[in-house]
Amino acid sequence: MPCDTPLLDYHCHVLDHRTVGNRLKLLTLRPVYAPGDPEFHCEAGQFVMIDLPTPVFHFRRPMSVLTTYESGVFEIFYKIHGRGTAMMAELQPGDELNVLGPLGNTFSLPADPDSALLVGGGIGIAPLYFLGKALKESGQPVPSCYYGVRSQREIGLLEPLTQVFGDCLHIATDDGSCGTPGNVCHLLNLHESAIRQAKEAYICGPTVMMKAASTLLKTLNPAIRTEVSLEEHMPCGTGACTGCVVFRTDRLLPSKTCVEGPVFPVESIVWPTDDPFPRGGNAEAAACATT
Amino acid sequence: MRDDVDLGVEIGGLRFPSLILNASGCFNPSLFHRVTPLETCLGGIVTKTVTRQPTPGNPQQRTVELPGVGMLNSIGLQNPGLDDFLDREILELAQYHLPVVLSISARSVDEFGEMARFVMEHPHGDGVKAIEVNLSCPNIAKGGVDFGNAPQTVRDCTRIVAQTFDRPVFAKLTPNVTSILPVAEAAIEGGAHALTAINTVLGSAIDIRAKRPHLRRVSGGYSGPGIKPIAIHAIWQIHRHFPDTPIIGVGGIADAADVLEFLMAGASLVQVGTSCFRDPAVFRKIREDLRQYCQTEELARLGALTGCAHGEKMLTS
Repeated sequence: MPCDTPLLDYHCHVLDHRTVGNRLKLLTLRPVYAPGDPEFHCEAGQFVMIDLPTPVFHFRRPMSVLTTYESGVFEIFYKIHGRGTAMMAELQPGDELNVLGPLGNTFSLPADPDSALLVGGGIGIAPLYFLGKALKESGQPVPSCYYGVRSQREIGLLEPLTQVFGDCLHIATDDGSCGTPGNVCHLLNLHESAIRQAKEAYICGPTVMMKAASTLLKTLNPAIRTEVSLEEHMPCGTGACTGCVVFRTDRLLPSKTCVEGPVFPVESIVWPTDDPFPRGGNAEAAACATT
Repeated sequence: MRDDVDLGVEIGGLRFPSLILNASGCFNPSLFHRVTPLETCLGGIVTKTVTRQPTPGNPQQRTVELPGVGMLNSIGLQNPGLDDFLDREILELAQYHLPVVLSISARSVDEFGEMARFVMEHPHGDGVKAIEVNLSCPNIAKGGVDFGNAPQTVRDCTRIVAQTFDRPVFAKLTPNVTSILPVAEAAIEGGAHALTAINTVLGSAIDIRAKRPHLRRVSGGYSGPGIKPIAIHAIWQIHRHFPDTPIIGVGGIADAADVLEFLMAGASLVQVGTSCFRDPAVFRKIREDLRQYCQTEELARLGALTGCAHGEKMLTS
């Protein structure tokens, strides 16, 4: 659903930055407010654009917000997998950086949290944790959380996840080092009755996993309403560049993931893996490349 | 220190309250306005390029970061079409009280004319204060060769828009030519009130992990700080040969010093594009720094700097 929270390029201090798993980092940021600045407020599903600590040209990095605390302090859970995140990993407590946000839409709150399903893969767990924690803190039942990772070392947030979801947390690891051996779809297949009873599902993770999980949910429960949180190459995060689009089943023009998403009803998107366009193309088509 | 600095400029009878505009396709007015009120930092709004019909654009991957120097894009002119722009978007832009420059692209010379006529006849067409003709698109009627590469088609496209549209027309030139002067001259002959220079530079990048091009369409437009010298070179040449034609400088501007460089090379107006992806407040910062510069330099009008680097003793043309 659309969200109109105050938007600002917040100047932030690093409060804490710790390694929580294999190349997994938990970054805690505290906005420093100028007079008149709105307090940083974010809802589950929204993201921020983090400016990297370098003077040379780069794109900011889009990051889901894991959770927020008093005074707008917020946490980012990320994995070091490229140049930008490697640069972020060097941040020390006390360092300063700019963070534009909050951006994007939010998950629709479940009408029936008790039966709702959260399905996460890898660092895609971040917005789902936010949603579960927000529901719990508002006194509502906590949804079931199905979390797939490669191995125990990739979980990162086991303690906070356990605190929020308790017995409703179900983990699958590819190597069987924690929870159910296999991927998240294997895990879901073991909870068929919960899936059949669920009215809503929320999925975030790698594209292949989201596609497989949403297809499985639909097969087991054709009436289920599923939202997915997408991750695309995102140069600006502000709807300016039209680089992060996702093609839709119900409209001619693709949607900008950064401003119309990142959360979409699953039935409305064309998965990038189903993209009918061949990779390559001719050079003349590239001449039409300009913005 | 003077506080009556004029950062504005007039082109073709159209007054821009500040000579800093956004570049086409690099801007989202509503969201940027939430960060910094647009009327406090921009002299006008250049729209994303609009085509006659809705255009879905290219498949992913459309962009790639080039750390330190800029980016490549292969968006494919995604836009909802001219009807939607005039029926809906132009009304939203009116709230900012800034001159709106409509960037247009077409598949043929005749379609450029049709679009200009459509703007003239549309009840909301008055909101369009100038048209920027995006010439970096394939001429479908001529086998897909870019309009911008051939002086004849540059002249024809510019002329048909200038003859149809009764307000200023800017021709946006591609740098992907051996010399920019023949196409600049052709645009002037076609009736352009100003030349926008430069559009993106063609480029490609390979993903060495995946062993394939980053962009689905292989090649795209290179923009960002790395193309600034290419833009300065083009502006210098155009101003040298056609000093009476205003130039709208664009290509790699990131701060006020870059703007000064563009002005001194010959630009009258500038556009900022890729830099605002990193910093949506870049327009405000540039404007504040330019005002400060004028005050320090006792300069009443920033536009007075245009072309000042062209001295009589310059050896190159």
